[in-house]
Amino acid sequence: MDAIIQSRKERATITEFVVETLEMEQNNSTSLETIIEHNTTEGTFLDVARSASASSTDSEEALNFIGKWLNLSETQRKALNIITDEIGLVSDLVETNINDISSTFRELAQHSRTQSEQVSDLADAAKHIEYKGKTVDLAEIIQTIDKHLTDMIGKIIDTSKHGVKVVYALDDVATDVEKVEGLISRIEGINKQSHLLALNARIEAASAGEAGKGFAVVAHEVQELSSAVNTLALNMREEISKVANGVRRGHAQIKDVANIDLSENIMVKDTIQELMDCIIAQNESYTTALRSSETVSKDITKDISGVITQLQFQDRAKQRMENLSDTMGVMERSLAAFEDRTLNNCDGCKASSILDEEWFQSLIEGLTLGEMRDRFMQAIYGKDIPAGLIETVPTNAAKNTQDDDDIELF
Amino acid sequence: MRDSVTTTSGLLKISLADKLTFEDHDNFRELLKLVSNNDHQRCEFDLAELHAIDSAGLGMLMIAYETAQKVGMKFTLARPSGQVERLLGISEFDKVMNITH
Repeated sequence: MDAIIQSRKERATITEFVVETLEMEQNNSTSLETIIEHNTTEGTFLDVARSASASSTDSEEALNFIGKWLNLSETQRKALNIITDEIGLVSDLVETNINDISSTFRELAQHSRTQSEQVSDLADAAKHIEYKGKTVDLAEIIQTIDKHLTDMIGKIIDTSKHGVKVVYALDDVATDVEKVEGLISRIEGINKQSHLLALNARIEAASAGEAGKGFAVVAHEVQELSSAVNTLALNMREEISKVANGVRRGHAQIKDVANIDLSENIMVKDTIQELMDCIIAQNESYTTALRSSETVSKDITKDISGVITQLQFQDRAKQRMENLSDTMGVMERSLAAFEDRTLNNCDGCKASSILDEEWFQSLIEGLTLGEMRDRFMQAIYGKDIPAGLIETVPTNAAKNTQDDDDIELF
Repeated sequence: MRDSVTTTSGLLKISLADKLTFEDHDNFRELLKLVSNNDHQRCEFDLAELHAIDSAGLGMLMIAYETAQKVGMKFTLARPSGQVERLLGISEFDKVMNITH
């Protein structure tokens, strides 16, 4: 019973020593040699080992204990070594992937900038059209169309006005022609009377005999004159009749023209104006949407730049991991030095060949990545991994990590 | 077209009703003669009861305006509505003559 108590005391002393040594080494304030020397001078660990060898039973137990401790120390050194390697792997993995991600984000930012510029160009282009090699503003086009329509309507009104005026003028001409025809009829009537009068005069002259000869000549001349006037009146009637017919035909035609209703054509301006308003409203809507999209693209570019900046955490993470690796190296070397000192100062002490698998098994079970687990076991056992460990560990670990090595990326 | 003419203290008021088309050009000419007589200072065509007009009708109103201008009368188109008001608006008559509503 006393031996067990003593053993526990020794173990507690050794543990305290190791913890103290590691803390001091990490703080880098005292060299390993100083620590070992200090502890030796104080008579802690090695004194315990030496005193333990005083009695044969206790001595054997102490040597076994030191052997186990040395074995544990060696295993932990190997574990620290593999942890250092794993930290290096993680650091490289993070660096490679962060570089890839940064590169992808830079490309994304470039695409986003290009998209923003294209959307901006599109928004500018939405307000213009290319016509015969010239860039024309849409509002200007609509104004031009409106001006042309207004001019066209003005000409329709002007044409209608002149059409009615021409009709009125031809009405007057027709009335005047009718008056002329009336006057010709009157001339013809007078001429007819003159002709009859001349005929009566000749009859009377013939009745008068020799005395009426001179009068008969005059009556004949009057009759000839009357015939000439009659011929002239007939000619005038024919000509006036032609003019009257021409005026009436023209009158009828201009009436047909003036009667064409162009009010529907005038109304078209209203329809076109409404369509133009719709086009402008839609165009403004598109332009607003495009401008908004441009702003969003710029924001995305800005956000991506921010992400790229934030990804620089990798540098800091790498430095920290390098510090951790260095610390692990110091711890590893401390353990190695401690093992050497123990072997040098303790006759008959040697590392146990039997590994305390209980703690190592719990360590292995905690590793969820199969690949990492394999490296740990190989580092500790080399190629001679105990069969029991191979059977147990993967089964237990597999409970937590199905297909743990095949990470499905999305 | 139906029309009625009233005169009050210097105002020749001609009210038109139904519709004004080319078919009415003879009757309208009689009204134009009243305008060209220059017996009044002002001439008003009341269009409140006129429900429709064609392009010839618009031309005739323009002739009436020019006739009044020639004899120095103030000319007004009053109370147009519906299709008549719309056509007068599209044709921008208000830029040429006075239109009251």
